[in-house]
Amino acid sequence: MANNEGRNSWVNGAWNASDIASAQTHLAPFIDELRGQASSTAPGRTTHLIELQVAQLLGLERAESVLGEAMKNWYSSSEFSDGEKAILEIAEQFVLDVHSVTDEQFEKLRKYFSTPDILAMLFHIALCDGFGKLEKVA
Amino acid sequence: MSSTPRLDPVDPTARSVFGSILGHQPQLAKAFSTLYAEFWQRGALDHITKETTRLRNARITDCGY
Repeated sequence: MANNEGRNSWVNGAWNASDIASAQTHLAPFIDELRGQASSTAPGRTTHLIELQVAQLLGLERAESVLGEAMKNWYSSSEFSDGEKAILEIAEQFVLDVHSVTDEQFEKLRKYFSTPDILAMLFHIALCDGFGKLEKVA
Repeated sequence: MSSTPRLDPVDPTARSVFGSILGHQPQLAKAFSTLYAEFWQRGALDHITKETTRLRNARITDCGY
């Protein structure tokens, strides 16, 4: 596993796709645009919650925070709404084993979010997961 | 995404595939398509390598597209 000490973190808002895409610089602006679109279209604070949870699961969280502490026990925490818990549940499964996401979990998500919102959140999860894992190994 | 999409396409008469689902977020779809096109058209890797990794990734993730 790569030593990531000292690297910028997208959880702190300092991470930039250009850091990772330096060997493929022609892709960097397009990656930034896609990540920006995904993060800006996800509803409410789900953008931040998804980033925080994926970072914790991948061991990329840099800064401690009250929300970060609550996230460690998100399932029983009163800090999060039922809708937020529904997307956190999907995000956790997505990162750890994407095959284990169930129809029941997805139906729960539908109770709280529209299809466009679900699409935006899933895209954001996928991008955080993908680039987070890339940061771990690159 | 599994082989059986869980989200409906933006056009109810269309088949539910990755592209038709993306229609729910046009700006996101545009950004993704632009990046994807750039990835396939340019870069250090040859097309055989890109296609091989795409196929391998699709099998691992059970992607039906």
